[in-house]
Amino acid sequence: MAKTALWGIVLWLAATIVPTLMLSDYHLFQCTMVVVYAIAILGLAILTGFNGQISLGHGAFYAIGAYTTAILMYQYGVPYWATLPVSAVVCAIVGFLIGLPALRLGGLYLALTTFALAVAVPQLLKHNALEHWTGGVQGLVIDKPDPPFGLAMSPDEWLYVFSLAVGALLFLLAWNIVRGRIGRAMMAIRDHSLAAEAMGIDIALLKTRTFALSALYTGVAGSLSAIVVQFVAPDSFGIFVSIYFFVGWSWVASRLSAADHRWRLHRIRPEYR
Amino acid sequence: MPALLEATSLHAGYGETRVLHGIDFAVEQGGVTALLGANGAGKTTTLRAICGMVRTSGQIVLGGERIDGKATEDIVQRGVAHVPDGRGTFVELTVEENLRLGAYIRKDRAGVARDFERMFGYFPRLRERYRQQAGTLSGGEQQMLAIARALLLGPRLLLLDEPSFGLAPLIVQEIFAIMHRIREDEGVSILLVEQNASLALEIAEHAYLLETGRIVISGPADEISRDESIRRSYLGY
Amino acid sequence: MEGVLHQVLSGIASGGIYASVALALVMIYQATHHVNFAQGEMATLSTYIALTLIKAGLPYWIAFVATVIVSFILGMLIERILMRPMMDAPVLASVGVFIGLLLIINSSTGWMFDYMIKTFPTPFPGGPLLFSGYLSGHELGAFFVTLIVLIAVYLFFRHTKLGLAMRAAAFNPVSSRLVGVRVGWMLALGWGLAAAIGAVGGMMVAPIVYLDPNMMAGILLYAFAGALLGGIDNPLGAVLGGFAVGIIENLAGAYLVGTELKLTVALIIIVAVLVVKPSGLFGRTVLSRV
Repeated sequence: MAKTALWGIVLWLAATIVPTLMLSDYHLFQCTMVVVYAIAILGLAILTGFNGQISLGHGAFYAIGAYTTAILMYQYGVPYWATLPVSAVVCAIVGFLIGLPALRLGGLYLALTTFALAVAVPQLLKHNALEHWTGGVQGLVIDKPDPPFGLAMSPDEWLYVFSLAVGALLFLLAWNIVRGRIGRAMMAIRDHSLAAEAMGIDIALLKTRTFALSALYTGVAGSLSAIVVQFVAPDSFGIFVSIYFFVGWSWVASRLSAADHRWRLHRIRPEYR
Repeated sequence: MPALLEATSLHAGYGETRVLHGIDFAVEQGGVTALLGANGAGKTTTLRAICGMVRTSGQIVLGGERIDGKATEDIVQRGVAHVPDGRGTFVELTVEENLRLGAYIRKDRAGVARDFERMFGYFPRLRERYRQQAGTLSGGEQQMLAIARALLLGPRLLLLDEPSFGLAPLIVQEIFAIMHRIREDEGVSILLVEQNASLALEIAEHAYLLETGRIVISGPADEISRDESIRRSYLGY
Repeated sequence: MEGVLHQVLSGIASGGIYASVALALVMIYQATHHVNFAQGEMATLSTYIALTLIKAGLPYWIAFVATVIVSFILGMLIERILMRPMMDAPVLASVGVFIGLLLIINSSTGWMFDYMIKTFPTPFPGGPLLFSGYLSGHELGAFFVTLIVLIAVYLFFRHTKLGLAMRAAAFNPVSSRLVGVRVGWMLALGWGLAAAIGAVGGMMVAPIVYLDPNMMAGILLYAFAGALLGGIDNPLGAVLGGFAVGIIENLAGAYLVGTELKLTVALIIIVAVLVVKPSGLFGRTVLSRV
């Protein structure tokens, strides 16, 4: 355990320092986006991988996080780092609210509904009533933040380090949750929800909370993406964002399953046929 | 007279589990052969093995031709009709559609029309319920429908899996009475799987007793039904 | 009042297209219990094929028929090659495969035919026509074409031996084998038919919404809504649902939420159906024994 922790810290330090020193700003920007996508996919992994609820609509949370940050920064001048906790809370609430009706939908129907959500999101973002905040079709442009305390690094370098720090924090949090009682309960629901319920696990509560947590992660990723890209617009958040998250998660999950049998995805039983 | 169906050293199972451990049996041409045994003995598996619905090793010969390893649809083409346990009715389709499916592989329309009439002769209730959805029929009627559907294939070999299952005794008697008539008039060889041993022994010429995947008793049906010790130990009456 | 009539008629016209795609979805769902998320992309690809044939000089209706046939074959191939191993896979795996198929077809279409929006010709005389200009010539024509296709499919399934075999294979593959139906081929045929119907839908809608690789995303959503509304295991219900969604979408767009939020209306319909009556208006309620 300590050995894993030590390796983790070493790797994280290396990932933080080496690219920052060696790569150009543009390449660092690309690396930052990789980190952002990793966090987003982690969110999906929490919901689909560990809890078995299939979501084809995580792009919606990504969009909500991105717009929350953009609106706070653009309309209200909130500093970039302060928008993250707000975004986290907002997305968690939205995730919880979506998780409620999701309780009634199993496997395929949930996939269908989240798919529909993802397709509908760009239209919602463009809507007239919200245009005042969202900037409508043109979206919002936000300034790139400067490194704090006058550190001698470029904004891109700082954003990379910042994202990596946020990412590490979130990964640690997820690691702890998944390894503990809650994680086991989540996986029990995924593998055999009926048995889990019979063992006393409050399925409804756990599933909605998992949805909230998952939305939080992908939402924070969305916030980071808005800060890094400096721009949000409705058409960036179409169905393909959700699809790429899903495909990305599937690929990662399959690589992990192949690498280590402890990571193997258990058979997910269809609840609805 | 050579047997219509002969199985030699038949093994069969589901996945890792072996259910049949090398059994030998035969179905006489034109007669009724009974396959008896308790729950889990492997009776249903035997019928499925003949139809190619489970993995098998060993030999199954139908009318001189090997059918083990063939696909179910091909075995059906060679004249094997199977009435599965639970009837296998197409519950969403009408009685008419169920019957038409029975004759699916046949090309002789006149022959099919004649056979339809004969089926209504055996099972008049099917004519009454012709356009009804099959799922709304009673258990006994569904069993009749299943048998009629199988006979419409024009089979050489009829496999019946527990026709008495889940049916009220009066209905069972009615169905078995019809089966006596079918056996006289149709010239089809029948392999009958039954838990209700007395009914089966009444209609069969030859009987096998299956116990946990092995044949423990084989002989003429009337001898077995007269043998008290066999009846008591194995057949429960 | 005139406005309502216009919206309703227009909704029926577009409803015919939704009904076609919904029917394709339900056909595959009935047979495999999987939702073909790639149905829209397949229809888009078919439409591009049609455009290519037309640009190569073929008269419209010849290109139309050729496209339908090619789509049928493509659908069968996809089933035989890709879907065969997926038959008993868990939901997550099959969703993954369908999404993958969606991506592959979408990207291939974009790569082969580029992402520029193209116009697609209509064989029907243009301009507002009957009913004092409530419907354009194309809308009326599209309605009749989809109606003919739907009726033809209905007759096929109800009154032909092959149609009966396909229904049987969808409902009860085990018993179907026992009467000699080749279930594997029935599945392939079902996919082929679904692809063909989708192609018709695509060719009918392209003149209205213009052709680009992402043309069908929204329409697929309306088709989902229609299929769910009518009952995802009920072909007739799906067709009626498709028409209903067309009308609802138009009316809601005109009078309730504005045309920009029409997709949201579809989403609301989907959520409402799944939460209130998952089996849809005409589907069977499935109870699962614990």
